[in-house]
Formats: sequence, structure tokens, C-alpha cells
Amino acid sequence: MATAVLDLDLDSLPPEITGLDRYVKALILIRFKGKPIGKTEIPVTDGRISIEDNYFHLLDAVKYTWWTKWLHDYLDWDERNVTNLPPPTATVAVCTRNRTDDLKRCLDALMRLPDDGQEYLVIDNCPSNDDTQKLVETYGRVRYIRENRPGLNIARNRALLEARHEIVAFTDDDATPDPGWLRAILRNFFSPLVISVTGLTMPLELETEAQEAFENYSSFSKGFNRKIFSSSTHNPLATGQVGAGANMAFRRSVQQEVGLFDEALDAGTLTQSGGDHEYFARILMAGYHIIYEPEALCWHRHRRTWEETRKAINGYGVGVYAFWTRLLVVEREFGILKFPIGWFRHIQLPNLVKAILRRPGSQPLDLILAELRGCLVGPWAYMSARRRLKNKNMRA
Amino acid sequence: MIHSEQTISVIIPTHNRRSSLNRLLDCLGLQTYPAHLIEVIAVANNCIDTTVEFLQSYQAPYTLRYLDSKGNGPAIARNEGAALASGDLFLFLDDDIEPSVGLVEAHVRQHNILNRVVIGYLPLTLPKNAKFYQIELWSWWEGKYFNMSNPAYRYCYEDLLSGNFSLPATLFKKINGFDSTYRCREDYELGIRLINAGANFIFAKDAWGYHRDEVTNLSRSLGRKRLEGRSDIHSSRRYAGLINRIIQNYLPPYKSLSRSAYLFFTVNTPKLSNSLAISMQHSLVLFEWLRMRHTWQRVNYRLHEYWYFRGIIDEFKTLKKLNHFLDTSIPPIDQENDLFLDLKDGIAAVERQLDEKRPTSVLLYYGEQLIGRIPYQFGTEPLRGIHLRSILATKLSEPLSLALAIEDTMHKNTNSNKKPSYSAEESVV
Repeated sequence: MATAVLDLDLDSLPPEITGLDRYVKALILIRFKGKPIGKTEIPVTDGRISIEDNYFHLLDAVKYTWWTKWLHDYLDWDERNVTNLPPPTATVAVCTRNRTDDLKRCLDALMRLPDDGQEYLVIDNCPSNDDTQKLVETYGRVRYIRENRPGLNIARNRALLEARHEIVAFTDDDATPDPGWLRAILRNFFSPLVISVTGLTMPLELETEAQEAFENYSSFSKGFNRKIFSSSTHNPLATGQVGAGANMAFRRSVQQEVGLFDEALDAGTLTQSGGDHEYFARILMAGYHIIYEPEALCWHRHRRTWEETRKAINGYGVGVYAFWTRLLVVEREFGILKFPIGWFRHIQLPNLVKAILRRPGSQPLDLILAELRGCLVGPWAYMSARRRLKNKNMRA
Repeated sequence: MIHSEQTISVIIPTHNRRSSLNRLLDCLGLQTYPAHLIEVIAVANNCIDTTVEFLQSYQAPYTLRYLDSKGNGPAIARNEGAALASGDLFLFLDDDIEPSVGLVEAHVRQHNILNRVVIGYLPLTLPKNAKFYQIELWSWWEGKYFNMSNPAYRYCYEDLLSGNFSLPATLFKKINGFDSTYRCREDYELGIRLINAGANFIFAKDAWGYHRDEVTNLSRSLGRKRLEGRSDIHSSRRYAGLINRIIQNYLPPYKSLSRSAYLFFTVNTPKLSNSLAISMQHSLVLFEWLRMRHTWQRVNYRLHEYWYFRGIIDEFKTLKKLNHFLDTSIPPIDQENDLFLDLKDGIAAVERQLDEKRPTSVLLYYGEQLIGRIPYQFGTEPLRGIHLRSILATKLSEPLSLALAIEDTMHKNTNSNKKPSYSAEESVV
């Protein structure tokens, strides 16, 4: 039973929404004057949702953020407007591999961004055919770059090196940025302390059981309050809440300050994920700040089949343990040792017990097991991926 | 004095740093501001290297004058340099600064209104594999400049950093220059007098230069903290308003057993507590090696607090004298000078009133309802219109929203009780 994904603005609410016959409930992103302020779920009855009847339910979901946004709007004041200078210019980079349907949706969305002189890059990572190249050629403003070494982090590094502008904003091929996405990111880059900005990622659709399970299991959404992460206020090793690779941006100089992405991590290698979170940790450890900006909104198409979803969750388990392994063996961060224990005791184990007892609201057991299996192989995956990379580099 | 051809005297106190000074003088010869309007005065302060000989033989495109000073400390050296200077503007630079070519011009450009004090930018770069101490210092330093670069920033005396700032010669003379009785924080003290004299501070990011040979590390920083404690007490004998700040920052008013014990041992067994502090300082190395950031930060903070307090105790010797001083010297809160403003007149109107009257404290109303007070802050510039919105959006956000909500409800009750109307728009993604 599917969930409709709706996007409503408190300023222009329709009295009711119809045509939702396929759905049992709706996940609603609530905005105020275009800015995301919260989300909530409302059941669908007879294919419709009455907004008038659910008005207070909507307000209840956004209380504090709505109040703050309303007041700032009344005062015409924004904490991000800290200077009269224009924001820096950006290069938008999409790393992709053999997914032209998704990529087309992503590029179409990017073409809807207001033109502030940003550059667009598509990094085609070790493709098996030239479909992506043909697609990209139909977009005049997008530069196509082919990177033959497989690996998402290798593609990201290529983007950092190829980018011509000061900020490099990454989105995934299966993500659809909101028209205000890039501007919202760039307004946070005025401070020299800030070297990275991440944004809010919402599900594009929840049509299948697998997509709903994924959204429940590991929602990308990190809340609707802007947060500043730094090593003086936040443990730099705990980067799960900082953001995700589908919606992140860096000052291009990050490669000189903290180094490039670890090419032994993330999709296309044995470690399958973790490249983004490891990079956030390294940035925070070096002393720089990362801002989570909920106004920088992307919609992410979750994997549609159960098999793909299980594989993705397994990959997250591998990636998390892989990047923790790197923190231990490369960065010598002993503090990471308490993380696996905490995660298992406070989240994984209770979830596992709940799932076995089939408690209401529990996560699907096979997803939990997939993640745990991933965790077990994570350290090994990282060490082998590192070894392979070393051998390859030596041969090259 | 507002015209485009202002002459400027660059005053540089220097102490045994010949090669740094050489670099600075070279850079001053490459400025975009015309050399015939620049005069450089180097004050060699108790130099035992070859600085004086170097200055004698240096060929500069601008007028170079120098002094061989026997005075003690940079405050005296700066005053001696200023006494010799003939420019319309004075620009004070530290001897180890490597200025950008536009630094002088950027300073002069900001002197377009009377009583301007221009604070230049000394960017700090975060080194690779930075130590925890360097990270703390960098984020404090750059954070401070970043706050100042906001046009809505409200300046205070602590923003006057003596390494790179300029002001009109008349203003400097009017307030009698630096106070030479200070060993450190003489810039803050000057800042207090400048603010009180109605100076208009501004931060100029384009007036930048690298601070090259400054060695800062934890032990130096802690040693400085002790001197700062002493000089802050020295200042607060003159400026009672400072006491509240010292108490706020370093002596929490709450009473607890551990606090009393801390005070007791610090005052009565200084040798023991000092050696304890030094061993804590050594433990920081271990915490850093173990990457225990949080513990490191806490101990580091406590150590700074401790040495600052040690400086205060140096001035008083006993706790009784300190308490007596604090009890008798805290200034009463003056509420009579509050300016009354009504936000119902519109925010823009209130902003205009603030710009016109430049009050130091304000009582804000919305119609009949009290929103709150923007209290007097010692050593802080009088309010400008541009400060208003951020204060309303942060410190006074709750009472303001409450007042607006009550106003709205009353307004609605007097009018008809209309239902909210919706525009019907399809919004399925």
C-alpha cells in the first residue's frame, strides 16, 4: 500500500486534495513561503485528504519552525544574510553510471534552477555503453566527463579537480533538486570557517513497499532546523546526522585542506558506501565547520524493489564499518571504538528484538539482518579495498 | 577632515625583528595608495640587533622616519611614533605584518565619515594537521572577524586589535593616545575610550595583511591570560562597567561547595594550585594524543579561566579584598536613560529613530504592550537602526511574537470572524 508524497505551502493550501485513490496515506512536506518547515503523515480516506479538517494537524507538525520562520519573515531578517557581498559561484556535479532514466530527471530539475552562472558537470563513472554521453549531449549547458576508474569517490574526486567555480555542489543521479536548492546552499558559504554545506533530502515517491520500508529504516531527512556542526560542539566522528552524499557541497579548496575523498570507500568498491560520512568526519576533525541547511531541498528516488533495498541497506552496514575502520587505522581515532558498541546496544539490538517479536512498528527483520551482515564484513571490505587500490596504483 | 587626498602616517613599533620590518617596509613601498601621501614612522623599541642601522640606510619611495626609543612596551612606542607623525590619519601596524598592496588605500577609503576607526583584517590560515590549540585559536579569530564583517554587527571595545587599525590623527590626540601604564590589553583600553568618545568602528576586510612571525602556543596563551586578569582589574578600577563583564566571564555568581573550595585553594595555596594547573596543562598533551577532544576542550577552558583568575588574585592577594572590591564597585543599573520606542510605528520608523538618536539603551513597546529592554552594554557602540532586527529576531523573539499574536487576536475580534480562505492549487508532486 503506497504513500503519496505531497508538497504543500501553508500560504496556499488547497481545501482538499483528491485523486489519491492508490494511496492509504500521504507524507506531506510542509513549507512556509517556499521554505521547508516540517513534514507529517495524514491518512487518505476515499482517495482524498481534507486539508481544512487536518489544518491543526499540519500546524502541530511544524510549530516551532513555523513560528520562527514567520517571525523572521515579518522582520524581513535572515541569519544567513550576514554580508552585502554576492554569494560564491558554483559547479554542480552529478556522478552517474548507467542510469539514464534517473539522470534525465535529475538534469531536467537542474535546468530549472535559476541561472546564477553555475556550471554543470556529469561525471560518467566507468560506463558500459555511451547512453549517458548521448543524453548529456542534449543538454547544452552540461559538461560531460568520463572517468574510467570505477568508484563513486573516484568520480567525486574527479569532479573536485574539474570544477571551475569556488563551490562544488554534489547531487546524485537519482535525486531531484528543488529549484531553490543551490541558492540555499550558497548562502551558507560566507564564513571562512564553513567548508561544507549539506541539505535536506526527502523521498521523491513512496510507491512500493520497498521504498516505504527504506524511508522508515533510514530516512535521509535530518530535520528542519539549520545546524552548524563543528568539533567544538559535536563529536566529529559522529557524522550520521550531518548529511548525505545526495545533497552536499564543498569549497573546492577542501582538497588542499583535508585531502581528497578516500578512493577505497563508497559505491563501486567493496565497501559500497561511507565515503560521504568519512569525508565529513575528516573535515570536522581538521577544525572546519559544516552547516546543515534544510532549505536546500532534494528529492531522492529510493530503490523500487525489495531486493535492491536490501542490498542498499547491506551496503550501508558495510560502509559504516568500513569508514570507522579507516578512522581507526588511518586517522588513529581510538574514540571510534565505542561507536559500534553504542549503535548495537541502543539501536540495532532493540530493533532486532522488536522485529523478532513482531512488535507493531518494528523494522523488517531481513533488512536488519542485511545491515548486521554488512557490519561484520565492513572492516575486512575496507582493508581489501585499500589493498586493491594500492596494487592498482602501483601497477599504473 | 574628509577629502580624497588624505595623508597617512603608518606607525610601526618594532623590537629586534629586522627581517620582518624589512619585509613590511618593502610592502609599504608597493602600495596602491600614492607614496607621496604616505609617511612611515618606525619606532625601534629597545632594539639590540641591527634594526637602527638598517633603518638609517633604508631607501624608501615614501617618507621614512624612525626613532630609537628606550621606552618600555609597544604602547609607549606607539605614542612616541604618533607624536612624530604628521599625517591626517594614523595607521598602526605590527612589525611582522605582510600587508597586501591595497591595505593602505582600503584604510583611507573607509575614512569617509568623522571619527572613523578602521579595523583591518589579519587572516589566519589553519595549518594542515593542526593541533587542537591551533584549531581553537583559528576558529575564535576568524569567527570574530566574520561577525564583524556583518553590516548589522554592534562593535565593542574588544574589537580594537592594535596590529592593524587606523583612525584620524585628531581623534587619537583628543583621547591622548595609548595608556602607557598597560603591559597588555592596551588596545582594549584604547577601544573603551574610543567608544566613549563616539568613534565609529568599522571592519575593512580588504585592508588585509598576513601576520607572519607571531608565535602563539598554549603556554604563551596561558601566560597572557594571567596578565590579562591583572590588566582587566587595572582597567576596572577606572571603568566600573568592566566589572560586570569580568564577573560574567570568569566568576559565576552562583555559590557551590566546589566553587568555594576552588577559590579557597587558589588564593591560599598558590604554589600547590599553580603546580596542579601546570600538570593539567601537561595532561593536555595526553588528551590530544588520545584524540579526546571534548576533555581537552574542557580542561583547556578551565586552565584559561584559572590563570585569568590567578592574575586577578595577583592584584588583590586575598579573597576578602577581591570581594570587597566587587561589592563596592559594581555600578548600579541606570534605567533612566532608556529611550522609549513603539514598534507599532513600524520597524522602519523605529530604525530611523535609532539612527537619529543613537541611544545606549532602549525600552521597546508594541502599542500598550512591553516587548523588552535592550540594556546598556559597557564599552559597546550606541545602537544603530541596523542592529534592531537581529535583536528582535533573537533575544526578543518571544515577547515580540506574543505581542503580535495578541494584537492580531484583538484585531480579529473587533472585525468579523472570517474563516481563513485557501487558494485551490494542485500540489501533488
